[in-house]
Amino acid sequence: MNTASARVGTPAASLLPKLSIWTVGALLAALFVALPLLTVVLIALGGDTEMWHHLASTVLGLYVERTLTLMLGVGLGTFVIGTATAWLVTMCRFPGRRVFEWALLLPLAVPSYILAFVVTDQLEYAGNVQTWLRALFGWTRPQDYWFPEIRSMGGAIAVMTTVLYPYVYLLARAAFLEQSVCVLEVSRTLGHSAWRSFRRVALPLARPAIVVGVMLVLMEVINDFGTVDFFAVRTFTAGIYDVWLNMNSISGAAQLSSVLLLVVLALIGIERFARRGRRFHHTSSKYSALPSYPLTGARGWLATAACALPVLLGFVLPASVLASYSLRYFRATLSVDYIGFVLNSLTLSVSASLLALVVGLFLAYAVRLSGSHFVRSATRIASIGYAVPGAILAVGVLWPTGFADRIFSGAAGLFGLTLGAVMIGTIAPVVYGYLVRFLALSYGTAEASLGKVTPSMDGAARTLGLTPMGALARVHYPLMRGSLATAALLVFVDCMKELPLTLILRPFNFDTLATFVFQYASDERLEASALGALTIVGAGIIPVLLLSVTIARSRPGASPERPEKE
Amino acid sequence: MNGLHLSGISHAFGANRVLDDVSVAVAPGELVCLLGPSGCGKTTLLRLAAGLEGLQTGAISIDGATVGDAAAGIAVPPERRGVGLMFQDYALFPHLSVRENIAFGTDPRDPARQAWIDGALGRMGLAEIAGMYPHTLSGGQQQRVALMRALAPSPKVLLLDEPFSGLDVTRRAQVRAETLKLVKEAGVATLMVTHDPEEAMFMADRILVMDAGHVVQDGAPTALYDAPACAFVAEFFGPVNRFEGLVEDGAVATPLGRLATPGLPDGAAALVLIRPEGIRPAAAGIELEIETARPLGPSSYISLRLPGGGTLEARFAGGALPAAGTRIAIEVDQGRVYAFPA
Repeated sequence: MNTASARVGTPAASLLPKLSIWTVGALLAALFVALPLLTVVLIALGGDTEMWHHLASTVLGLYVERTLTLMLGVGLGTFVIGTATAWLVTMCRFPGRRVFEWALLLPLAVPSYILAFVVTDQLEYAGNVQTWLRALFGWTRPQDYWFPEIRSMGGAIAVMTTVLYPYVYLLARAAFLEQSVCVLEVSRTLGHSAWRSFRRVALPLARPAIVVGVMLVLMEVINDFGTVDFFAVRTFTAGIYDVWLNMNSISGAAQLSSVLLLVVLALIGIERFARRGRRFHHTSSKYSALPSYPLTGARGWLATAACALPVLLGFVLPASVLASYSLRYFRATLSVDYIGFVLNSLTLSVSASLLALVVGLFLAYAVRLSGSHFVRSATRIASIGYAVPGAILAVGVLWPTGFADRIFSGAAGLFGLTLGAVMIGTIAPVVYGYLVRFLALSYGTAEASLGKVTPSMDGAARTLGLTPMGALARVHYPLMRGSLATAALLVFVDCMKELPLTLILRPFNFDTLATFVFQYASDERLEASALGALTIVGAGIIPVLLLSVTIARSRPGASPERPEKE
Repeated sequence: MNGLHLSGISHAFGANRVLDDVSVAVAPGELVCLLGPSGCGKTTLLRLAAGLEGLQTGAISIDGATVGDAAAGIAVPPERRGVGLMFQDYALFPHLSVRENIAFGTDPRDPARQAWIDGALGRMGLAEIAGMYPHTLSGGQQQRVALMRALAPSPKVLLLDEPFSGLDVTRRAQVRAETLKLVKEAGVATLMVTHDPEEAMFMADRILVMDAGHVVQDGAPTALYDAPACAFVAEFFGPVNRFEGLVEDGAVATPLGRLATPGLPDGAAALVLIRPEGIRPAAAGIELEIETARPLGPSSYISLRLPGGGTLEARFAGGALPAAGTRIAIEVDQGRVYAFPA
């Protein structure tokens, strides 16, 4: 009693979260997202140690080694390609620069497993490249010549680097554009060459952004299942599937997942730390046109080639191969249930994106209206799903949904009803998994767009006679509409491309475009699945276009576009 | 009880007390300035008056009607108070045109208000930009739009939060004069917040100087400048030369001679402040060496070396600039000397 009454009116009282709808809602959302992760850890701890010892003595070392090699290779590759191309298109002038500014983003539309299939199809013994080489040199047998094996660690690194470098490019480019040219000019007047200025000023200033980009790449690398499975690279993620589905040990899978979660936490930690470091960017508010060093002659064409190569390999090649297969094997495509797969994909993606939008918007308002540390931390937990590999989420989602089923059927039993599985065997677990994984995307966009409505705009609307609901309708909604559509679209497209989660959590005999393409192409039947793969790539283009428009407008000092008026 | 009355207002954010028993009354047609350094609770007082912040202690009435009373649990929502609030960042709605922004708080079916808006747009020179969007406007134009938006619903009370801080110095004087004219025409009770004493003196009928949540002096602009109630107010309104010492026979000994300290008992520690314009060149008097002399246009900045070390700042009106290094005789204008207990 004494301690309780002493608390009233002291600062300690305000530390206790007030039980508003926002607090409760944010807490629920955080729990909802954290549940699969907690489940994984609990299953892992509760599982038999024998399995763990077996894994540790046999495959664990291999998984660690393979995963780290892959991360190192792709991280290094995307850093070099992403930073170099970003620097070239922002600071230099060479043939085709304006096209490359947006074209360099295109490979982002191609999921790595699709590029893996296309590249393999082209480079294998019967593929176009080797056939052409044999015809050229008159070889007849595989023994006559050496050719690199694409289905290998090297191949996986190359394929993932080619489709993932745009993350680094995007962030590095934005960072270079944000930099005040004055800073670079100061460096030049202090006697540094353009190249030394890049190394000593521009690169260190952009480093936090580049680190964020590389961390996002690495999260994608450990999330990947399609490529490593097809290339038989035994990473952690591949191992989780192997232990779960082939060795039939969910606790073993959970144990591997828990180890991988440590890597994920490290990546999130580095990413958030780097994001915080971005604050000291703007040292000068003066911006002038970027200098655009002209690269003429051979150097110009070299720059063109350097930018063209990733676009050709990462987008033009897969898109054209898939397009030509789609045309040639149109009948084969329709003999499989293409339309059905499209509808399945749409159902899943639309439900998940709408749900993610609603929850993301709720969290954005919760943080704004309550402003408490508690809600803020809950929201931070709710938005870590983006970094968690689909395989881990799959392990973690299955158990809670099964548990919910037992509760439902238990409750139905009280009323004398028999109820089968309500969740398992439906699309609910998949949508749940998507929501956890992509909530950060919708929350981030909702938060950013809510940021456009400043608190004083709220105040202005209220003093000018609007009720809170009125302010929502006449100020918030019109200002946020566009961004919210974008948020839903981004989640939608990511759901369309998603493979590792869908593969495990989908109902029996239920295929989406992604799972269908993966299974068919893994069986070397790329032709029949080409249209499906092309559809996924087509959907992936949409956010790329949105991004390229945004990035063109983002330069400080550029006159902002006038908002559309209906 | 017409106009705006805030009485006994106290407010705290967590453990941080920003307002402590503050009372302000603004009559219709009167312009009152709340003047004080940043973070002294001025803006919070405006937000409380508008109803954007929950009242913790005290009461607020507008034109005789209580709109907020912490003890009685009365809290009229902002949309029903009839106050116009102009925000420091203007808070223009980016998705609405100039005309739509200004008309936001008015009834589109009320011909009188719509006619007022159109007339005001013309008078303010905003007619040509009525269809444009806020981000295309200059700072001065945005300021005028924000002011007109606050005035358009013909509020009983107008609240201005640092209305000129977003403008560059060269534009400020002109916009200030325009704003004053517009507000006086509207005849509305106006409470304005600023940290700029010159701005407050230009705009206000009455100034309340605030420090750390308290009102330290309330009076006409000239009274505050000529007869500051404490050292804080004196120093806030302009640069001063400071001397400290013990009162002896109603005066304190300073390098400039004995300066009278009316109202202070003998033996008390005193702080004596002299405004730079209180130091005048004289035919005869204390002779000091000129350290620096720089022209400021209408007057000149003179820094004088004091015998015991340190410098004395003075402003000499017009005339030829004395050369640095020479000696000059000065006298002290007792009307520009303020003495407070140290």
